[in-house]
Amino acid sequence: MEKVKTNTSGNKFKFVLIILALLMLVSHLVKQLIDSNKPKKEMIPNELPDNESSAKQQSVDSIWHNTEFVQD
Amino acid sequence: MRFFNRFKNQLTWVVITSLIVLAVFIGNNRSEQSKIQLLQSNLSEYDLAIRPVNENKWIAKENSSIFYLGNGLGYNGEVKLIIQIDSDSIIKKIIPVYHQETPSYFNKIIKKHLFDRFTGKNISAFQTNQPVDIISGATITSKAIINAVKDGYVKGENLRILEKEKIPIFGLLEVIILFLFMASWLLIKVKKIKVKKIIRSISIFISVVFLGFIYNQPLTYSRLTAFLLGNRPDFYKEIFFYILLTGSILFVLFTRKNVYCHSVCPFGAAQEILAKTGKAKVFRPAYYKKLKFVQRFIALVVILAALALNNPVIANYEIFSAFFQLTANFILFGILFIVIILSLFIKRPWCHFMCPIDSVFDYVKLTRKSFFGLWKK
Repeated sequence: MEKVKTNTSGNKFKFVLIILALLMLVSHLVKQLIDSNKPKKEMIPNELPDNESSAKQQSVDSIWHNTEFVQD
Repeated sequence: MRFFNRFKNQLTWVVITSLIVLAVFIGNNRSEQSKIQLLQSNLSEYDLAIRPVNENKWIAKENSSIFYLGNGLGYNGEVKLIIQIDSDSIIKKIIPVYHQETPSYFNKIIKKHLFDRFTGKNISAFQTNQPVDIISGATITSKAIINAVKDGYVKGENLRILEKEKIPIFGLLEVIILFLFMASWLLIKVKKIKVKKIIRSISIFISVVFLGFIYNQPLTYSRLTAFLLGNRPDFYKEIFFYILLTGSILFVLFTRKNVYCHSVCPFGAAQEILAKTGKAKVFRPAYYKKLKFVQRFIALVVILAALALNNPVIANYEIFSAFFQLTANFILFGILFIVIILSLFIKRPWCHFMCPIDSVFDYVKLTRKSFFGLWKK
């Protein structure tokens, strides 16, 4: 049976573009997944002023565990 | 095998739903631990001479600076900030320590120096619910930042927020969404082609201009993921989200038609305009079903990962912001470029082959088919 001729080169072009877009989508998703597992340090755009950071007496980390909260 | 064929829809629905419920369960259990751990790791970067007053307030020993930790609800989830004030209650610095917003969007806010605009203001102004003169045309993320400042101050000082009576804000955006749903209903009911064309043109124009360019509030996958994870938008302030979501689902359940994608979505409408420009045709190649399967499979894997990792940002892969706000990374801009080119030749390439929202409504359709079908049997 004779096949009906269609604009196959046009369809191929569209197919390639769709696949390319899907591949880019997947690469974007993989990138996001990797970024989400990275430490979030880059989320902090600015740093504390030097006068506070230089005074090293008690780390915030240890304060976090300190449960002696003073009520106002 | 006969049993499988007979209940294929129901079994598929049960498997997908179970996976989603399981992912929500894993994600919610993970969140309680990881947020505190994340906060600790961020704060331990700075070795400060400060002492805690309560869970939301610290005082620096050296210069009497006060630090508050506040939360605000952003587009995808919590935004956590540290607010530093001096002894006269003047804000010196705002430090973001945790957020789940789209990175490109959050970076844009940082580049616009939003955090700097807080400096020099007296923090007591944030106790009231009056708008604080920080941003004009505030977005959900920027509102979340303001709310986080309020939250830190109010909780840190054990104050009560002075709120006005809560009334749902019903503005132009809500009216527009209701109009688009009404237009969709008319498109189903009206038979005359000429009238249909007029309604369609008006709804496309309104959707692109208002829902797209002006408000940029289409339904997004990351927002639905955040919603499933319990980060629900404030009903009183974002009633439009609930109208969009419930309206779209009810239409599918009662009419079997996905009117959201067809007539409400601003990017769908934008593709319609491009299709008219390029005289695009419907594209249904032999491999259409396979491509459709890929689209749904990606959507399912992504939502499961985003839910299980409690990170809605993972589910953010739509190109809406790239088109309407020019905010996205270069990969999404690349995809947008391809979609625009394709839209000139084929109708709605994004909707048919890539959009996750289309898969969401396919799932709602499957729900309808599974249970309405059983009920009929």
